[in-house]
Amino acid sequence: MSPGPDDAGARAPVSEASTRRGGQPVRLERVRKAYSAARPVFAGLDLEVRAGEVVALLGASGCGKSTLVRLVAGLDRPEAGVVRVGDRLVAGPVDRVGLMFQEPRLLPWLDAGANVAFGLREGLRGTPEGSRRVRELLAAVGLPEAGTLFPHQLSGGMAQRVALARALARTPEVLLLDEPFGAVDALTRTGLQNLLVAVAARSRTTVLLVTHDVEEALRISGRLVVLGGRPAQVRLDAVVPGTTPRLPDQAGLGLLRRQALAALAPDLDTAPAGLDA
Amino acid sequence: MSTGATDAAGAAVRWRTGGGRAPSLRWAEPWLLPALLLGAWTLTTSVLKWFSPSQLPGPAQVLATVRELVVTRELEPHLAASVGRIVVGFTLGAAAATVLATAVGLSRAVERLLDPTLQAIRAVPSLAWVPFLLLWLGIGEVPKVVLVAIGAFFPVYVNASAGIRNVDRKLLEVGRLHGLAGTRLARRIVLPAAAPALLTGLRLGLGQAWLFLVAAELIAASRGLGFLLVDGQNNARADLMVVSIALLALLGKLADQGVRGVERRLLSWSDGFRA
Repeated sequence: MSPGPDDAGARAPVSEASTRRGGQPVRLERVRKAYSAARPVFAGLDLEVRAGEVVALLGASGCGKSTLVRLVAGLDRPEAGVVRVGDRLVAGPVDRVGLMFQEPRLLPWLDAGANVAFGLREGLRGTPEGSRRVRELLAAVGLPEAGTLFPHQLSGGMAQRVALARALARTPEVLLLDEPFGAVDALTRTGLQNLLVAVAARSRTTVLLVTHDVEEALRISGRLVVLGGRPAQVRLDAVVPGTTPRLPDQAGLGLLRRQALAALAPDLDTAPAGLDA
Repeated sequence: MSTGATDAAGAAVRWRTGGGRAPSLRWAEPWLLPALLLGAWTLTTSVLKWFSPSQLPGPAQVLATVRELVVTRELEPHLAASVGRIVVGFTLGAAAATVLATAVGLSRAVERLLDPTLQAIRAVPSLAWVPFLLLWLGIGEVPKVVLVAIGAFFPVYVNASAGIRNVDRKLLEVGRLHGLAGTRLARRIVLPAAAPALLTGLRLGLGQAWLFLVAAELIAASRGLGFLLVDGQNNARADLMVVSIALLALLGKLADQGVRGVERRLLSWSDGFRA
């Protein structure tokens, strides 16, 4: 791991392809999804993410954040309602939507480079441009030398960075991230957040970032959506002002932070008496 | 109490350093037991003469028999027959098992259709097949090869189908996410993920192939190591019997080493095979 994590943000992938494609809007309309009929996860959920927007999706564990991401990725189908990416209905996984799971999910029989190449679009696989893109992506996530290492030789954080490179390999128009940086150390996390912001800004990718970390949401998202309840509803939907990545002590975020925490855990007194500044 | 704990820790440390001090002799460890057995054999036959040569010949006599079999080229047809039957029978059985296991592992419908019948056939003991195969396929090479194939089939089938069914669903999802389905999903995700189980099945199948081979050759053959064994019995040549048993052990071990070599190369990515 030669370059520091903050280099990662500076050297974002610069392939032509990534600058050409724009983001696509994501729309959920009256979506119903139930794993058990008695307690649906969603019963008529509406949510729209505009093209090129970076939205942080917050919510308590088990509130349906991951389910929402799986619906947009086409891995699950809603029982009612529709999910659209761009002007097309989501009927299954498609090339232009990238997903990074909570855990790396690298294919253990492929080395890191081949794992990233696995994420390339069909036409790029096995081409010189494809391998160049793989090298660029590995460099962008701060692992330029790791291409020939197998997943069992990578630390958890390194594996997660390879997984991010794989998700970016297809130059997604919509990038879904399901609590992606939970397992990486704080410094690397900052680097990867910066990389994500840079990629999103450069290629105008639509990003839906699931997180349980309010600070992460405030640092890199342009909009913050809090889900809660069963069936889950949008409890808070607020624009986060200012350019990203933000500093944690940036002015004007205090109220939003408190609102987000209150929406996340309405039962808890987020500002105990006497401690509030 | 604290003293006891310290003693235990000390013992553990001593034990570990003891193990680490002799890595130069590690290579010899697998040979220790064979060397002991050889010594005991020599001692009880040639030196102490506990056994008569017609019961258990000594190493010198067995070596002389081997030399004679090699010089007169009498061994060659037996070796060629057995090895040939293994190669053809194992290849056929393992290939059929891999194909069926993939179908059964991937589709619940195919599993319901095939698996109960296959499990029932699996329950038939190897020797029970011999008279039936002789009746149907005559006394040529075919029944022996078929019996070897049956022997190889089931360990491969059982392991591979279990391996395929237990492929991590999360990895299958990665495949689906990248647009893979059907045979492409099988080739790029399912088979590589099930490779460890498949290779274990191949090793076990190879072992069982030798078992079924000897079953076939004991009963109906005029060549092969199993025949050599019966021939020795019929002519009161214990040396021939020892030679054929030793050759079976040697060839079985070599074949197993071969599959393990393939295993090590193919599974270098796996945690368990970390050097």
